[in-house]
Amino acid sequence: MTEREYNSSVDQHAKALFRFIFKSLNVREDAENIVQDTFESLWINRDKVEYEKCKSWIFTTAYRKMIDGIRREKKMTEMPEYYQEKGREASQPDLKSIVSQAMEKLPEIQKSVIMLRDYEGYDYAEIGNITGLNESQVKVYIFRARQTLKNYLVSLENII
Amino acid sequence: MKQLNDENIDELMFMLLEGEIQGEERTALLEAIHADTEYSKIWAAWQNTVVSPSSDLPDINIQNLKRKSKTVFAVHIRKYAVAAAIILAGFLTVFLINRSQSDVLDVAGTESNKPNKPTLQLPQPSDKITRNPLLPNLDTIVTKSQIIKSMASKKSNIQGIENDIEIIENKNAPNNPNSDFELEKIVKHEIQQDEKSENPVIPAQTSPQNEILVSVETTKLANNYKVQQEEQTWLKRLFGSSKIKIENDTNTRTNRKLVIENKKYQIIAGF
Repeated sequence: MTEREYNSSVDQHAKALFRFIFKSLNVREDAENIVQDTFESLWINRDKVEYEKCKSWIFTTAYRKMIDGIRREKKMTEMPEYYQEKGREASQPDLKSIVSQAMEKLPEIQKSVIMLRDYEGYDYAEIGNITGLNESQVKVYIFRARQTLKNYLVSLENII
Repeated sequence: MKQLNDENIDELMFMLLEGEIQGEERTALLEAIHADTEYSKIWAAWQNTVVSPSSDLPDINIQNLKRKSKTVFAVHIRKYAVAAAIILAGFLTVFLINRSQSDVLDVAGTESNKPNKPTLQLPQPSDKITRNPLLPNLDTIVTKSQIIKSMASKKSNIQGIENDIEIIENKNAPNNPNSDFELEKIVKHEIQQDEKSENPVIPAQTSPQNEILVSVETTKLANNYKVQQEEQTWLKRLFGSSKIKIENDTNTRTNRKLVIENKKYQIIAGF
Protein backbone atom coordinates (compact mmCIF):
# COMPACT_ATOMS: atom_id res chain seq x y z
CA MET A 1 0.00 0.00 0.00
CA THR A 2 1.41 3.35 -1.00
CA GLU A 3 1.18 6.57 0.96
CA ARG A 4 -1.50 7.82 -1.41
CA GLU A 5 -3.53 4.62 -0.97
CA TYR A 6 -3.15 4.86 2.79
CA ASN A 7 -4.46 8.43 2.78
CA SER A 8 -7.28 7.34 0.49
CA SER A 9 -8.23 4.59 2.94
CA VAL A 10 -8.35 7.20 5.70
CA ASP A 11 -10.72 9.27 3.58
CA GLN A 12 -12.95 6.31 2.81
CA HIS A 13 -13.10 4.37 6.08
CA ALA A 14 -12.05 6.53 9.03
CA LYS A 15 -15.43 8.09 9.66
CA ALA A 16 -17.30 4.81 9.32
CA LEU A 17 -14.84 3.13 11.65
CA PHE A 18 -15.20 5.88 14.22
CA ARG A 19 -18.98 5.62 13.98
CA PHE A 20 -18.85 1.88 14.53
CA ILE A 21 -16.50 2.11 17.52
CA PHE A 22 -18.25 5.08 19.09
CA LYS A 23 -21.63 3.37 18.79
CA SER A 24 -20.16 0.37 20.59
CA LEU A 25 -18.29 2.22 23.35
CA ASN A 26 -20.23 5.48 23.61
CA VAL A 27 -17.08 7.25 24.81
CA ARG A 28 -15.72 9.66 22.26
CA GLU A 29 -12.12 9.75 23.51
CA ASP A 30 -11.87 5.96 23.58
CA ALA A 31 -13.32 5.69 20.09
CA GLU A 32 -10.88 8.29 18.76
CA ASN A 33 -7.95 6.51 20.39
CA ILE A 34 -8.92 3.19 18.85
CA VAL A 35 -9.30 4.74 15.40
CA GLN A 36 -5.94 6.47 15.81
CA ASP A 37 -4.23 3.25 16.93
CA THR A 38 -5.82 1.30 14.10
CA PHE A 39 -4.59 3.63 11.39
CA GLU A 40 -1.19 3.78 13.05
CA SER A 41 -1.05 0.00 12.77
CA LEU A 42 -2.17 0.21 9.15
CA TRP A 43 0.66 2.64 8.36
CA ILE A 44 3.22 0.40 10.07
CA ASN A 45 1.92 -2.67 8.21
CA ARG A 46 1.22 -0.91 4.92
CA ASP A 47 3.63 -3.17 3.06
CA LYS A 48 1.69 -6.25 4.16
CA VAL A 49 -1.86 -4.98 3.68
CA GLU A 50 -3.35 -4.83 0.19
CA TYR A 51 -5.31 -1.70 -0.56
CA GLU A 52 -8.32 -3.70 -1.83
CA LYS A 53 -8.58 -5.56 1.48
CA CYS A 54 -7.72 -2.70 3.79
CA LYS A 55 -11.31 -2.00 4.89
CA SER A 56 -11.71 -5.48 6.33
CA TRP A 57 -8.23 -5.22 7.92
CA ILE A 58 -9.08 -1.87 9.50
CA PHE A 59 -12.38 -3.02 10.98
CA THR A 60 -10.89 -6.30 12.21
CA THR A 61 -8.03 -4.53 13.94
CA ALA A 62 -10.27 -1.88 15.44
CA TYR A 63 -12.80 -4.45 16.62
CA ARG A 64 -10.09 -6.45 18.40
CA LYS A 65 -8.69 -3.33 20.01
CA MET A 66 -12.17 -2.38 21.14
CA ILE A 67 -12.88 -5.82 22.64
CA ASP A 68 -9.51 -5.77 24.40
CA GLY A 69 -10.33 -2.35 25.79
CA ILE A 70 -13.76 -3.44 26.95
CA ARG A 71 -12.38 -6.50 28.66
CA ARG A 72 -9.68 -4.43 30.32
CA GLU A 73 -11.81 -1.61 31.59
CA LYS A 74 -15.22 -3.29 31.74
CA LYS A 75 -16.90 -0.20 30.49
CA MET A 76 -19.96 -1.95 29.16
CA THR A 77 -21.40 -2.92 32.55
CA GLU A 78 -23.79 0.01 32.71
CA MET A 79 -25.51 2.24 30.26
CA PRO A 80 -23.29 5.09 29.10
CA GLU A 81 -23.91 8.65 30.14
CA TYR A 82 -24.42 9.81 26.56
CA TYR A 83 -27.52 7.68 26.11
CA GLN A 84 -28.80 8.18 29.64
CA GLU A 85 -28.86 11.92 28.98
CA LYS A 86 -30.42 11.43 25.57
CA GLY A 87 -33.13 9.28 27.08
CA ARG A 88 -33.97 11.86 29.71
CA GLU A 89 -34.08 14.72 27.21
CA ALA A 90 -36.38 12.94 24.78
CA SER A 91 -39.82 12.90 26.30
CA GLN A 92 -41.35 11.33 23.18
CA PRO A 93 -38.47 9.54 21.52
CA ASP A 94 -38.72 8.71 17.85
CA LEU A 95 -38.32 5.21 16.47
CA LYS A 96 -34.61 5.67 15.74
CA SER A 97 -33.74 6.59 19.30
CA ILE A 98 -35.89 3.73 20.62
CA VAL A 99 -33.94 1.29 18.46
CA SER A 100 -30.70 2.89 19.67
CA GLN A 101 -31.76 2.39 23.28
CA ALA A 102 -32.64 -1.19 22.53
CA MET A 103 -29.27 -1.67 20.84
CA GLU A 104 -27.50 -0.65 24.03
CA LYS A 105 -29.10 -3.56 25.84
CA LEU A 106 -27.73 -6.09 23.39
CA PRO A 107 -24.67 -8.14 24.25
CA GLU A 108 -21.49 -6.65 22.77
CA ILE A 109 -21.02 -9.28 20.09
CA GLN A 110 -24.64 -8.98 18.87
CA LYS A 111 -24.33 -5.20 18.72
CA SER A 112 -21.11 -5.43 16.76
CA VAL A 113 -22.42 -7.84 14.14
CA ILE A 114 -25.63 -5.81 13.70
CA MET A 115 -23.65 -2.62 13.18
CA LEU A 116 -21.22 -4.26 10.77
CA ARG A 117 -24.17 -5.65 8.88
CA ASP A 118 -26.34 -2.53 8.78
CA TYR A 119 -23.85 0.34 8.96
CA GLU A 120 -21.17 -1.08 6.71
CA GLY A 121 -23.14 -3.61 4.65
CA TYR A 122 -20.76 -6.53 5.25
CA ASP A 123 -21.92 -10.06 4.42
CA TYR A 124 -21.74 -12.88 6.94
CA ALA A 125 -18.32 -14.06 5.79
CA GLU A 126 -16.75 -10.60 6.10
CA ILE A 127 -18.28 -10.08 9.52
CA GLY A 128 -16.92 -13.49 10.47
CA ASN A 129 -13.41 -12.41 9.40
CA ILE A 130 -13.62 -9.25 11.47
CA THR A 131 -15.06 -10.80 14.60
CA GLY A 132 -13.35 -14.16 14.42
CA LEU A 133 -16.63 -16.07 14.09
CA ASN A 134 -17.79 -18.47 11.41
CA GLU A 135 -20.69 -17.61 9.09
CA SER A 136 -23.24 -19.71 11.00
CA GLN A 137 -22.34 -18.05 14.27
CA VAL A 138 -22.63 -14.64 12.66
CA LYS A 139 -26.06 -15.50 11.28
CA VAL A 140 -27.22 -16.76 14.68
CA TYR A 141 -25.98 -13.64 16.46
CA ILE A 142 -27.66 -11.36 13.92
CA PHE A 143 -30.91 -13.32 14.23
CA ARG A 144 -30.87 -13.11 18.02
CA ALA A 145 -30.07 -9.41 17.93
CA ARG A 146 -32.91 -8.62 15.53
CA GLN A 147 -35.30 -10.80 17.45
CA THR A 148 -34.46 -8.95 20.67
CA LEU A 149 -34.95 -5.58 18.96
CA LYS A 150 -38.21 -6.74 17.42
CA ASN A 151 -39.54 -7.96 20.77
CA TYR A 152 -38.56 -4.66 22.38
CA LEU A 153 -40.36 -2.67 19.69
CA VAL A 154 -43.47 -4.88 19.81
CA SER A 155 -43.64 -4.71 23.61
CA LEU A 156 -43.21 -0.93 23.52
CA GLU A 157 -45.99 -0.68 20.94
CA ASN A 158 -48.26 -2.73 23.17
CA ILE A 159 -47.52 -0.42 26.13
CA ILE A 160 -48.17 2.73 24.10
CA MET B 1 -43.10 -23.55 -0.17
CA LYS B 2 -43.06 -22.83 3.55
CA GLN B 3 -46.31 -21.92 5.28
CA LEU B 4 -46.36 -19.01 7.73
CA ASN B 5 -47.41 -19.92 11.28
CA ASP B 6 -46.69 -18.89 14.89
CA GLU B 7 -43.91 -21.43 15.12
CA ASN B 8 -41.82 -20.24 12.18
CA ILE B 9 -42.90 -16.60 11.88
CA ASP B 10 -39.62 -15.17 13.33
CA GLU B 11 -37.44 -17.43 11.25
CA LEU B 12 -39.27 -16.68 7.98
CA MET B 13 -39.44 -12.93 8.64
CA PHE B 14 -35.71 -12.86 9.44
CA MET B 15 -35.00 -14.68 6.16
CA LEU B 16 -37.20 -12.23 4.29
CA LEU B 17 -35.43 -9.31 5.93
CA GLU B 18 -31.97 -10.70 5.15
CA GLY B 19 -32.95 -11.38 1.55
CA GLU B 20 -32.54 -15.12 1.83
CA ILE B 21 -36.00 -15.76 0.36
CA GLN B 22 -36.47 -14.45 -3.17
CA GLY B 23 -38.81 -14.77 -6.14
CA GLU B 24 -42.30 -16.24 -5.96
CA GLU B 25 -41.80 -17.59 -2.47
CA ARG B 26 -41.04 -14.11 -1.18
CA THR B 27 -44.03 -12.62 -2.92
CA ALA B 28 -46.34 -15.30 -1.52
CA LEU B 29 -45.03 -14.86 2.01
CA LEU B 30 -45.42 -11.07 1.88
CA GLU B 31 -49.00 -11.47 0.67
CA ALA B 32 -49.73 -13.81 3.56
CA ILE B 33 -48.21 -11.33 6.04
CA HIS B 34 -50.22 -8.38 4.73
CA ALA B 35 -53.39 -10.45 4.83
CA ASP B 36 -53.05 -10.77 8.64
CA THR B 37 -53.07 -7.62 10.82
CA GLU B 38 -51.08 -9.18 13.64
CA TYR B 39 -48.44 -10.51 11.25
CA SER B 40 -48.25 -7.09 9.59
CA LYS B 41 -47.40 -5.44 12.92
CA ILE B 42 -44.75 -8.04 13.65
CA TRP B 43 -43.29 -7.66 10.14
CA ALA B 44 -43.15 -3.86 10.63
CA ALA B 45 -41.25 -4.40 13.89
CA TRP B 46 -38.81 -6.72 12.12
CA GLN B 47 -38.20 -4.12 9.44
CA ASN B 48 -37.41 -1.53 12.11
CA THR B 49 -34.59 -3.68 13.46
CA VAL B 50 -32.43 -2.56 10.53
CA VAL B 51 -30.37 0.22 12.11
CA SER B 52 -28.81 3.20 10.37
CA PRO B 53 -26.22 5.63 11.65
CA SER B 54 -27.81 8.58 13.38
CA SER B 55 -26.88 12.04 12.13
CA ASP B 56 -26.24 13.40 15.62
CA LEU B 57 -23.19 11.20 16.16
CA PRO B 58 -19.96 13.15 16.73
CA ASP B 59 -17.45 13.31 13.90
CA ILE B 60 -13.71 12.70 13.83
CA ASN B 61 -11.02 14.88 12.26
CA ILE B 62 -9.48 12.54 9.71
CA GLN B 63 -6.75 14.99 8.65
CA ASN B 64 -4.80 14.03 11.78
CA LEU B 65 -4.67 10.44 10.57
CA LYS B 66 -3.10 11.21 7.20
CA ARG B 67 0.60 11.00 6.43
CA LYS B 68 2.84 13.55 4.75
CA SER B 69 6.26 12.15 3.99
CA LYS B 70 7.45 15.41 2.39
CA THR B 71 7.55 17.06 5.79
CA VAL B 72 9.83 14.37 7.15
CA PHE B 73 12.11 14.74 4.13
CA ALA B 74 12.29 18.50 4.61
CA VAL B 75 13.31 18.07 8.24
CA HIS B 76 16.20 15.82 7.17
CA ILE B 77 17.28 18.26 4.48
CA ARG B 78 17.39 21.04 7.07
CA LYS B 79 19.62 18.95 9.33
CA TYR B 80 22.03 18.19 6.50
CA ALA B 81 22.10 21.83 5.44
CA VAL B 82 23.03 22.96 8.95
CA ALA B 83 25.77 20.31 9.18
CA ALA B 84 27.16 21.29 5.79
CA ALA B 85 27.13 24.97 6.72
CA ILE B 86 29.06 24.30 9.95
CA ILE B 87 31.70 22.24 8.13
CA LEU B 88 32.11 24.87 5.40
CA ALA B 89 32.40 27.65 7.97
CA GLY B 90 35.12 25.65 9.75
CA PHE B 91 37.15 25.16 6.59
CA LEU B 92 36.75 28.81 5.64
CA THR B 93 37.99 29.92 9.06
CA VAL B 94 41.06 27.69 8.85
CA PHE B 95 41.74 28.94 5.34
CA LEU B 96 41.51 32.60 6.34
CA ILE B 97 43.74 32.09 9.40
CA ASN B 98 46.35 30.39 7.21
CA ARG B 99 46.25 33.20 4.69
CA SER B 100 46.73 35.91 7.27
CA GLN B 101 49.76 34.11 8.74
CA SER B 102 51.50 33.37 5.41
CA ASP B 103 54.55 35.22 4.08
CA VAL B 104 54.05 37.44 1.01
CA LEU B 105 56.63 38.27 -1.65
CA ASP B 106 57.54 41.98 -1.49
CA VAL B 107 58.79 44.03 -4.40
CA ALA B 108 60.90 47.16 -4.28
CA GLY B 109 58.94 50.37 -4.31
CA THR B 110 56.08 49.06 -2.22
CA GLU B 111 55.64 50.00 1.40
CA SER B 112 56.50 47.22 3.79
CA ASN B 113 57.49 46.94 7.43
CA LYS B 114 59.15 43.55 7.01
CA PRO B 115 62.89 44.23 6.52
CA ASN B 116 64.00 40.70 5.70
CA LYS B 117 61.76 40.09 2.72
CA PRO B 118 63.56 39.31 -0.57
CA THR B 119 63.34 42.10 -3.13
CA LEU B 120 62.85 41.86 -6.84
CA GLN B 121 63.72 45.05 -8.75
CA LEU B 122 62.18 45.33 -12.17
CA PRO B 123 61.67 48.13 -14.70
CA GLN B 124 58.19 49.62 -14.82
CA PRO B 125 56.10 47.40 -17.06
CA SER B 126 53.42 48.47 -19.43
CA ASP B 127 50.47 46.26 -20.20
CA LYS B 128 50.40 47.29 -23.87
CA ILE B 129 50.40 44.30 -26.15
CA THR B 130 53.43 44.07 -28.43
CA ARG B 131 54.97 41.53 -30.76
CA ASN B 132 57.02 38.85 -29.07
CA PRO B 133 60.67 40.01 -29.39
CA LEU B 134 61.90 36.61 -28.28
CA LEU B 135 60.22 34.94 -31.20
CA PRO B 136 59.99 37.70 -33.88
CA ASN B 137 59.33 35.24 -36.70
CA LEU B 138 56.26 33.79 -35.04
CA ASP B 139 52.97 35.58 -35.18
CA THR B 140 52.41 35.44 -31.41
CA ILE B 141 51.43 38.28 -29.09
CA VAL B 142 52.83 38.64 -25.58
CA THR B 143 52.61 41.41 -22.98
CA LYS B 144 55.62 43.22 -21.64
CA SER B 145 54.89 41.76 -18.25
CA GLN B 146 55.37 38.31 -19.68
CA ILE B 147 58.65 39.36 -21.28
CA ILE B 148 59.95 40.74 -18.00
CA LYS B 149 58.86 37.65 -16.16
CA SER B 150 60.68 35.51 -18.71
CA MET B 151 63.85 37.53 -18.24
CA ALA B 152 63.61 37.36 -14.47
CA SER B 153 63.14 33.64 -14.67
CA LYS B 154 66.30 33.24 -16.74
CA LYS B 155 68.27 35.30 -14.28
CA SER B 156 67.03 33.41 -11.28
CA ASN B 157 67.86 30.01 -12.81
CA ILE B 158 64.67 28.59 -11.29
CA GLN B 159 62.60 26.69 -13.81
CA GLY B 160 58.90 27.38 -14.08
CA ILE B 161 59.01 30.49 -11.95
CA GLU B 162 57.55 32.85 -14.60
CA ASN B 163 53.93 32.35 -13.63
CA ASP B 164 54.68 32.83 -9.94
CA ILE B 165 56.44 36.20 -10.20
CA GLU B 166 54.22 39.10 -9.32
CA ILE B 167 55.22 42.42 -10.90
CA ILE B 168 54.45 45.50 -8.88
CA GLU B 169 54.90 48.99 -10.24
CA ASN B 170 58.22 50.61 -9.25
CA LYS B 171 57.43 54.26 -8.62
CA ASN B 172 61.15 55.17 -8.50
CA ALA B 173 61.85 53.91 -12.01
CA PRO B 174 62.34 56.66 -14.66
CA ASN B 175 59.45 57.31 -16.98
CA ASN B 176 61.07 56.68 -20.35
CA PRO B 177 58.93 57.50 -23.40
CA ASN B 178 61.06 55.10 -25.47
CA SER B 179 60.67 52.28 -22.99
CA ASP B 180 59.22 49.98 -25.61
CA PHE B 181 62.25 50.44 -27.80
CA GLU B 182 64.66 50.12 -24.86
CA LEU B 183 62.96 46.98 -23.63
CA GLU B 184 63.20 45.42 -27.05
CA LYS B 185 66.88 46.22 -27.14
CA ILE B 186 67.38 44.68 -23.71
CA VAL B 187 65.62 41.53 -24.67
CA LYS B 188 67.56 41.24 -27.89
CA HIS B 189 70.71 41.76 -25.93
CA GLU B 190 69.71 38.97 -23.59
CA ILE B 191 69.17 36.62 -26.48
CA GLN B 192 72.52 37.58 -27.93
CA GLN B 193 74.15 36.98 -24.56
CA ASP B 194 72.66 33.51 -24.49
CA GLU B 195 73.98 32.77 -27.98
CA LYS B 196 77.42 34.07 -27.01
CA SER B 197 77.54 31.86 -23.99
CA GLU B 198 76.96 28.92 -26.31
CA ASN B 199 79.58 30.31 -28.78
CA PRO B 200 82.14 32.14 -26.63
CA VAL B 201 84.31 33.12 -29.62
CA ILE B 202 82.20 36.17 -30.44
CA PRO B 203 82.76 39.06 -27.97
CA ALA B 204 79.98 41.16 -26.45
CA GLN B 205 79.12 44.36 -28.37
CA THR B 206 76.50 46.03 -26.22
CA SER B 207 77.01 49.25 -24.34
CA PRO B 208 76.85 49.28 -20.50
CA GLN B 209 73.79 51.52 -20.48
CA ASN B 210 71.77 48.82 -22.27
CA GLU B 211 72.65 46.16 -19.72
CA ILE B 212 69.83 44.17 -18.23
CA LEU B 213 67.99 45.96 -15.45
CA VAL B 214 66.64 42.85 -13.78
CA SER B 215 68.35 41.74 -10.61
CA VAL B 216 67.15 38.85 -8.55
CA GLU B 217 68.32 37.57 -5.19
CA THR B 218 68.08 33.97 -6.23
CA THR B 219 68.48 32.30 -2.84
CA LYS B 220 65.80 34.28 -1.10
CA LEU B 221 63.57 34.19 -4.13
CA ALA B 222 63.80 30.44 -4.24
CA ASN B 223 62.78 30.27 -0.60
CA ASN B 224 59.91 32.65 -1.17
CA TYR B 225 58.85 30.72 -4.21
CA LYS B 226 58.48 27.67 -2.04
CA VAL B 227 56.40 29.63 0.46
CA GLN B 228 54.09 30.83 -2.29
CA GLN B 229 53.72 27.37 -3.70
CA GLU B 230 52.77 26.06 -0.27
CA GLU B 231 50.25 28.83 0.18
CA GLN B 232 48.49 27.89 -3.02
CA THR B 233 48.06 24.31 -1.87
CA TRP B 234 46.64 25.08 1.58
CA LEU B 235 44.34 22.10 1.39
CA LYS B 236 47.36 19.93 0.80
CA ARG B 237 49.02 21.56 3.77
CA LEU B 238 45.96 20.94 5.88
CA PHE B 239 45.77 17.23 5.31
CA GLY B 240 49.07 16.34 3.59
CA SER B 241 51.81 15.24 5.97
CA SER B 242 49.35 15.59 8.85
CA LYS B 243 48.84 13.17 11.68
CA ILE B 244 45.30 11.95 12.11
CA LYS B 245 44.48 10.23 15.35
CA ILE B 246 41.44 9.38 17.50
CA GLU B 247 41.65 10.11 21.21
CA ASN B 248 39.38 9.42 24.17
CA ASP B 249 37.29 12.34 25.36
CA THR B 250 34.45 11.92 27.84
CA ASN B 251 33.00 15.30 26.90
CA THR B 252 31.87 14.07 23.46
CA ARG B 253 28.84 11.99 22.63
CA THR B 254 30.86 8.99 21.44
CA ASN B 255 33.64 9.51 24.04
CA ARG B 256 36.03 9.97 21.11
CA LYS B 257 37.54 12.95 19.33
CA LEU B 258 39.28 13.22 16.00
CA VAL B 259 42.58 15.12 15.97
CA ILE B 260 44.29 16.33 12.77
CA GLU B 261 47.60 18.06 13.39
CA ASN B 262 50.89 19.01 11.79
CA LYS B 263 53.67 21.45 12.66
CA LYS B 264 51.57 24.59 12.37
CA TYR B 265 48.09 23.77 13.62
CA GLN B 266 45.81 21.27 15.24
CA ILE B 267 42.16 20.55 14.40
CA ILE B 268 40.03 18.76 16.98
CA ALA B 269 36.57 17.44 16.16
CA GLY B 270 34.36 15.84 18.78
CA PHE B 271 31.29 13.74 17.88
